[in-house]
Amino acid sequence: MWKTILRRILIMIPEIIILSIIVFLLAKAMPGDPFTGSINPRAGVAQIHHLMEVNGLYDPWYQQYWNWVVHLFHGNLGESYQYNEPVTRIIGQRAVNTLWLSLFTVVLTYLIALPMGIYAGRHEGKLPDTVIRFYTYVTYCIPFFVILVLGIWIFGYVLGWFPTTGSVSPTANGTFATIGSRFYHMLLPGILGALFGTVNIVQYLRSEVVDAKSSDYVRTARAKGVPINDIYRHHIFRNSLLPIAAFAGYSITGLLNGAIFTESVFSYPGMGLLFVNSISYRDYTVITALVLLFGILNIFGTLLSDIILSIVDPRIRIE
Amino acid sequence: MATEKILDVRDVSTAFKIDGHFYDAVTHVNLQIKKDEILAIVGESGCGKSTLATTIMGLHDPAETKISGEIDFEGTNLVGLPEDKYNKIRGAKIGMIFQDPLSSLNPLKRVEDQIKEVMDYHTDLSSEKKHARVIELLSQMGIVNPERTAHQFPHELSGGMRQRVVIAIAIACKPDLLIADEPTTALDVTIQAQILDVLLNIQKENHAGIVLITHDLGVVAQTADKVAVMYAGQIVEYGSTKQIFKTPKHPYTRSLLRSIPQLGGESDDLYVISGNVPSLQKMPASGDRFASRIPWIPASDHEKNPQMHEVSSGHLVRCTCYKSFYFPDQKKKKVANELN
Amino acid sequence: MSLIEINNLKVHYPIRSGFFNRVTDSVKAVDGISFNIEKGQTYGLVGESGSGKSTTGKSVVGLEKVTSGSILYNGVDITSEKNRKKLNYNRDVQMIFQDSLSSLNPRKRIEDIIAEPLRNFEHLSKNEEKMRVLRLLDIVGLSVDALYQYPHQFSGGQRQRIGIARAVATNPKLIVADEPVSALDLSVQAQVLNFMKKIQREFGITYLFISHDLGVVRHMCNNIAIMNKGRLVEVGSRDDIYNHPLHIYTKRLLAAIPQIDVDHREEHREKRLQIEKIYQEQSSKYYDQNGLAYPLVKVSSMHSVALPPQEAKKYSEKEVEV
Repeated sequence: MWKTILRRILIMIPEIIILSIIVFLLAKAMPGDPFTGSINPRAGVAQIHHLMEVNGLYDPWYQQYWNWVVHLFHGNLGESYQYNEPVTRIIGQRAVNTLWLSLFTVVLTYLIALPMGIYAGRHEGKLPDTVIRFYTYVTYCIPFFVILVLGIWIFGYVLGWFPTTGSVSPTANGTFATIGSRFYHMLLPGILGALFGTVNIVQYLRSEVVDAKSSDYVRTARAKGVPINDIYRHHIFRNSLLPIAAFAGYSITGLLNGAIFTESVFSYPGMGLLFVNSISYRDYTVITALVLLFGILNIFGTLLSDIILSIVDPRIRIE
Repeated sequence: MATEKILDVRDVSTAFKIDGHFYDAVTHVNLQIKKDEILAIVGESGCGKSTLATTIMGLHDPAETKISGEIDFEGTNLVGLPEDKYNKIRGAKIGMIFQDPLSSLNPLKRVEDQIKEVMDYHTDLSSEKKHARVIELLSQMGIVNPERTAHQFPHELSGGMRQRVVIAIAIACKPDLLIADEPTTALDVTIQAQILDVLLNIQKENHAGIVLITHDLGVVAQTADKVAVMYAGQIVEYGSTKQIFKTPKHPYTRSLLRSIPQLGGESDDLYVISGNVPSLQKMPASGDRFASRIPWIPASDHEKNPQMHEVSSGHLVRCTCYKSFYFPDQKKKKVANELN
Repeated sequence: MSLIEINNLKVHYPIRSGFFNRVTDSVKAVDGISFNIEKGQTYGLVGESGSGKSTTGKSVVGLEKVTSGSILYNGVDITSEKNRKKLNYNRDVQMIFQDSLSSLNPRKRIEDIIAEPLRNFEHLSKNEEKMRVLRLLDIVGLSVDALYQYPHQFSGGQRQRIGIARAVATNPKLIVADEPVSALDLSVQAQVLNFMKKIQREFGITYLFISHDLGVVRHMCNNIAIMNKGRLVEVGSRDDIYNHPLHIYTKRLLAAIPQIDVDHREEHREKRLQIEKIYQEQSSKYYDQNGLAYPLVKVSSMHSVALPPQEAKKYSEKEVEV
């Protein structure tokens, strides 16, 4: 198995190289430049030309790409044009925020989704199932950003229960107060993200439970004289959770996509918001670094899913 | 005692709910099984033989099915028995073997755990004793390396091996009654022969009664003591294996036997029963259910409300039409004349 | 000339493993088999699951990539796609499958299902096409109403007949029938088998009949090949196979069939156990060191058996004497 994992990682190398070239070229293909608008408006065209030249932006693309790769291997992703700070440091700060928010959302998602999916599946066709299915359909139909905006308006603005921007209150003093404030800021985006994220899992889990209920091995268990509650515990739940467990790897990618919406709407200083801002400022170094990071995480997520699946399902072996 | 009656099915009907109405899948069935006896229930798909088995096992959802009559199992009436009491009987006193051995086993559990599970609920053996019993059972099934098989997952086994595991589960607690629903249909003929041998050997040791449900008349002829032929939810003929195969009476039994491609004969055309089995919803409310498949027999030869008639000791046939039944391609001679 | 001549057909599937995912071994699904199918006959190919009989059938239809060997159809090798196209082979050779429900598109009406091969190979007007479909329905004994119905509205036997109607639509010369009746009840099976024989008489169709059921094969086939682990163990006429089997595997298969004969069941059982014992104890005599069958040796004009080299010599010497 380790051999295969190693081989999969080696295969990822050309994937990442191709990905990085595409990302690099796409970023360059965007119209505009990083300097117009960010320096003194009275600065002439000549000065912008000068800045472009100094930063090597007039070199042929392969030259620029090569320079970028060489720097990359020195752990240097360049400097942000927007913030005049090393890209690594900027992303590092935001990554921590995104990581905490994502982790919180994931835990919350599974805490809500698993009991709901199992309950709906077990009581298929009864009232609780109908209510849960109604909830999933409604949530599924509403676009994510509408949920976010509605959530902010109701809970942040009308009711005023939660903060609507930022990741921590500037007035928070002391370690505990800071942690408390951070958690308080994560609550609303986390809950809204989780509510949206549950839909797929609930629907999937429900149908898995419904299928498992009428499966032949459950019939065998009944013929053994196993009480129905034990059949749920020992057979149905475990077998239905299997594909959900395998989802975990993929959910990393899903969360990053979600972060772009959530962080923009909540002005939450994470990687999603950074990404959106960098695009509008043509902050090439940040964009390329972020897209590359997302891409690598994506590839790792897929690998992780395969590994998890091979661990939990004896029928699947990575060889 | 060798002739002890273990199961007495009296006037049992099972109805399924379809679009709010109940339709009979099994109608007024009567059966008895003794120790050491193999009763075969034969019939084509949709005749109700599997439904009868799952009715005895109590595997139907009470909200979707209506069961009437009485199933006397060693003095307990199983019809309407509460789940917790049923769970004491299932697996312990009645074991069941299913058709598809792959889907009948949990794909995520090792063979050993699946066999142990039935002992967990019906015995208070220690873990070591249970393990010993698993190994004993698997060897009894003719598995050469039981320790290895016990540690494997179902997908790692061949079809024949899986079915041995399913049988091991069914007999782990030495039940008095074994219900085998098409136990060899999914298997190759050579494996089928081995599995049937295993079943017969178990019976010699455990003295269980076996209900063998199958559509394969060859399997019946080679293994059963008694045979019940089912058509459209009813038993149409009942008797010893010899009676059924050597002097079949009911038109359906006779038709089935005639449609087998025989190893002996190479006649050019096989006999075909005209028409189709009526679906549950379209079952005629009264009269002989097989009448529409033998339209050349006049209605007056059928009973209005067909009953079982004893034609010889222990040989029962439904409806009087058997007396005048003949195949259209044969010369029109009465069955009665044939017998004389 | 035989309609189909299969020469040393091999279908191997590669097994990849190791760090560089190289081909390290192969599954030999079909491992060098040869037989001929005569025009207008029903040729039986018998074997247990995993014997390679279905793979052979698919190779004959052109659905399987052949590793080596040839399949001659009227003398032309059809293992190459170019030749198949040139001959319009896929019009002349059709297939019937075991599972009639999954082999018919559930979203298509019967009219479209039966007309599909016509649309592929013959350019008929709407009217002509309809007439052909109606005639086909009539041949398989289904009413006109069936035209606008969907597969799930029919019983297993009716669906199998629809599958046959589709197969015979283009007036094929050869039909490969892969377990055509194994999923059917006895009475329906009889119906389908009678029907297959009827269209054979009427249209002179040749069948390659693949089955594990020796009773059905005996009823249907003139010549029979027994397949075991990718190789043929015995080939012969119906009489050779059923009355004078020579290979232990054939004997074992025949002995395993449950007989209807109630009176002699103990004898059957003993005979079967006896053959099983020989099979288990003397398998090295009948199979080579890899557990595979030896090459076929001719023991009479029609009858060939996979015999070990020393026994094979006996037969070849005999031939010399004659």
